[in-house]
Amino acid sequence: MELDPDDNKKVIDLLSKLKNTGGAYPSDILASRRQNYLKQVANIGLGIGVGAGLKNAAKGGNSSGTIANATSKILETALVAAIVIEAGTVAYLYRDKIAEMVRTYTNSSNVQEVVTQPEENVTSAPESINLITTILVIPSVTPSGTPSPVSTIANSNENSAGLSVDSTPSPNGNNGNHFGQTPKPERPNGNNNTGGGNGNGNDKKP
Amino acid sequence: MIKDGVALLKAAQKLDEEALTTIFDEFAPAIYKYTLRLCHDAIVADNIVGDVFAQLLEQFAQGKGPRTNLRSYLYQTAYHLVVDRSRYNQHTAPLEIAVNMPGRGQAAIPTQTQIEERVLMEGLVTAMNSELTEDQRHVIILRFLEDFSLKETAEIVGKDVNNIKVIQNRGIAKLRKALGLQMEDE
Repeated sequence: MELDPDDNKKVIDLLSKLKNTGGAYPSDILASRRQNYLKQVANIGLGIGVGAGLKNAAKGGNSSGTIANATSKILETALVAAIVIEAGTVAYLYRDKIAEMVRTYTNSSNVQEVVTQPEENVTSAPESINLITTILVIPSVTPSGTPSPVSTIANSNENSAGLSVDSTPSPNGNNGNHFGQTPKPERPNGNNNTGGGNGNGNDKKP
Repeated sequence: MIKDGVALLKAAQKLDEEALTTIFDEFAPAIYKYTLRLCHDAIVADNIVGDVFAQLLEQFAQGKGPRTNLRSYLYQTAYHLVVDRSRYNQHTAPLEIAVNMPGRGQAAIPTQTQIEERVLMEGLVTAMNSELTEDQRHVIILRFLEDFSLKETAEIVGKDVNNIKVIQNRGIAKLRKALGLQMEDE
């Protein structure tokens, strides 16, 4: 029995015979499998599902699942609405306390923020003010003479109100000028010439 | 009893119990046989049958699942499950299981023609398991053992129709060569 290499028909015929001789499903295993499958079908009919994928069976469109979905959505919405209404009512009833609390909170936070910086300015301000007054007070004194800085400082520290400084005594008509009091020098008799020469008035040009 | 394929599919999509039971009775043995040919393990084949129909129920429950060709869909699911189990090329079953031939202990005395035919069939099964590639064996099984069209086979395997033709012709050529060599040896 030799196969014709150009003809595939023999191989295909053999394959067709092989088709009819395939392994059959053992009846007991098939019955068990069928029973299991029918349980799964019954579970699907009840909406229980056969596995993880069947958990979505309710979303697939059967009526009980749809009703359950709608009910759960309504309950969820009602619960959210009740929570919102309750929160609003409580806020309205205690609005004064809430406002006070908020105000307290905001004020306290402002003080905490502001206090540190101004304290430094306040402490340094009086010194500068004293210095300014000291500087301003000193020019208000009108000394008659040249004041010495030591006495000025001492006086300003001791009595700032009645400040009296010793001035130069009154000149009593003498202003210090001595015009005309200088003695005139005496001139020699025989020689009145003020210029150069021999001083005898007989100088002649040669 | 729903006999029309389209009416059966529509009823199954509505989770009709009778339609779902009919689908199982009609396709479970064929899926088992097909899976057994692929994985060569009776227990695995039975488990895969269970998984195929469980997935089908899940798909119907989610409003999904096949719309036109239920048979191709079931075979495609079975094929993917076989591939997922990674036992495609790891097991070799006895020929008695794969070909369903009588065991050695049986008392029936075969004729000369029956002996020649049995030897030829065993050679064919051996060649399918040893000579063909995975794709070639799968395409040969779908085309000639499960009677799927080229288009359906292409859908199940996930390849182009022309590609399926090439795979099929190369597979048959390999089987022909293997059987011819075997015959020359004898």
